[in-house]
Amino acid sequence: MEGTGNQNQNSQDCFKVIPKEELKIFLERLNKEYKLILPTHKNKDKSKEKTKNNELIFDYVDVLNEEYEFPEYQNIRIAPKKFLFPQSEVLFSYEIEGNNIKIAEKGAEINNQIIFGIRNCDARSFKILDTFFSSGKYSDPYYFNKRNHTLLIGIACNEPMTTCFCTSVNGGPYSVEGFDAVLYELPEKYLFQIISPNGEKFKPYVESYSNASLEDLKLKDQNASHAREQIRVSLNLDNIEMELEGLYNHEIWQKIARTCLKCGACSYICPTCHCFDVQEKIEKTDIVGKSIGKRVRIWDTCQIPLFTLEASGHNPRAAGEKRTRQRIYHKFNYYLKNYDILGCVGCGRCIQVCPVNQDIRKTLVKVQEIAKNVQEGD
Amino acid sequence: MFGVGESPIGIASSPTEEDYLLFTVKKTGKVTSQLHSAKIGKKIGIRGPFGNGWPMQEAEGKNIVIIGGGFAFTTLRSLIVFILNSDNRKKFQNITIIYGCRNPGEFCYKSELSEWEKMNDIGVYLTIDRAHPNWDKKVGFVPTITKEVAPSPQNSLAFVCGPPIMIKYTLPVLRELGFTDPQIYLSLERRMKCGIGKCGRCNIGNKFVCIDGPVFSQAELNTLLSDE
Ligand code: SF4
Ligand code: SF4
Ligand code: FES
Repeated sequence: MEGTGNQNQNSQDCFKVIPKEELKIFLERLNKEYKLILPTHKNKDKSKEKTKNNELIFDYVDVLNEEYEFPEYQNIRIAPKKFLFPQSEVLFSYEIEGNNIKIAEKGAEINNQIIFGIRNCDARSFKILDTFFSSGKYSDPYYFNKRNHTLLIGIACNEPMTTCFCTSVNGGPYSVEGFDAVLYELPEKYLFQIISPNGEKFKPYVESYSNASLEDLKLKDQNASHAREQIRVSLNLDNIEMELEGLYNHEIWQKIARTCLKCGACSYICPTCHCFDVQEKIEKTDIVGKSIGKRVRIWDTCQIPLFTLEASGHNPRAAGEKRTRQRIYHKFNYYLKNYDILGCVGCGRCIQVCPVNQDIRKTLVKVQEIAKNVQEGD
Repeated sequence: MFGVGESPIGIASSPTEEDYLLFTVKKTGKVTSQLHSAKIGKKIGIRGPFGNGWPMQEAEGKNIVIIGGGFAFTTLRSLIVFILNSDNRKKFQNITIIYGCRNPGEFCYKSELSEWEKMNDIGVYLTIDRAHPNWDKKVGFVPTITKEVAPSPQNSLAFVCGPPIMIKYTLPVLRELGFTDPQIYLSLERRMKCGIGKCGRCNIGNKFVCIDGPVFSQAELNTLLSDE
């Protein structure tokens, strides 16, 4: 947990009370300085409000000019990853005329923005992406040009879903890691707490609100324990790196791969997956001999064979079990080896999205069982 | 190639050839086909260089056994030209080159090969998979010929680059000859898109071929979770 100076983290004046009916005004004040990414209905047309196609998504909302009501949700199906690492992103564009090539770096102005209402798992996924994209010799400018202008205001989870297992991977419904500021929901109000040094920027916006009462804090702590109790699956993954180490060639991967369709849905939906393909998009213009093109990166998935297929025809991960294995090892072994963190935040999205009900929690349980047996058999 | 895409290609010239970069490119996919049909003067872009190279410092004072197969010989040419450069030659001991192709037409750098064959301080062994009327050199797969040539492991390093199947069967031969895993270096291939450890497809265990490789010692590979 990042500190906010030497104040006691739990003293009443760390928590400001925003009455629910004033949230919109609070957002409007933020919106004057920041673009806001908010949970909102996909379809802004009110008449379609209750239809299936109207799920909640994160999207830019101009609350100064649009109606907006902060909705209720457990978590949003599609993670906010796409705002910093879009599904398709132009790296640069160019113009070719005969043998003349003019390259235009994408220099779009990036506005300061806030992703508001994100859950702890998704905030922690940005910490993972920060670590990965800044690792090694080459930091990723396309990610950081947006990341460096983005603040995260989270909301603690009062009602985790049945698929949530954040507490097994060092997070939690009330963990504040990764947030710049966080809201705690109480019956008539929110408590607002600044978490990171960057979050201090919100101070002027909340100064006028009153401090939380002791009663408020008590209620918040009750909610926290209630939330934690909702999370039924709790794994101890302290030794997962070593547990996987001995199972690389174990038949478990074949078994899991047998039912897996290799559709890649689990990795496209995952807030920490970051693999991409690089493609060339060329658009001919009407002017003879002149064409305009761009180089684009697009989300990709390690679950499909094309991902690693070489020009020679050789494919190191042609077999399905090698792809199933790659996904688990990347998150629970390679990540620990390379960056000393886990590559999964326990959001459970891959469990919800899988058409054949693969459950990453069950895979991990199985791995631990086998590892234990292997060890005892020694 | 603007408008077509990128392809990862090893550098076939040596740092001692200062005036140009040489790339030897097999026509396989979209980018390489366009390269083949490009006219002289066509502008292309190069990103790189990425990753590591052969461990030349470690190789100083040693015998070097160079084993290559098919079109993967390009970076081995770079290595050989570097070693044979008059300023560098004395830093290395005996040089053995074993190079195999499917048929005589497939060899790259034919004129250089025949020059090297004439030199008496290096051993050059060219082989093709099956006998061919225009061929009076060795016949047999690279692992078999390696066994026959039997380079000594004494104070030696082996640098191997070729198709996965060749590597797979050459390794046991080298080990049988007495080469230990730290003495065996492999240059590996993977599909690559970014070259900077970000697109995520070229990993072997927790290492990326594009930045941590493509050259790995077999000893290092043994420590990785990999099928190599
Ligand atoms: S692997 Fe599954 S549970 Fe873990 S972060 Fe990705 S989608 Fe969430
Ligand atoms: S995984 Fe944890 S942080 Fe994420 S929504 Fe569920 S309870 Fe909240
Ligand atoms: S080529 Fe992209 S990670 Fe190696």
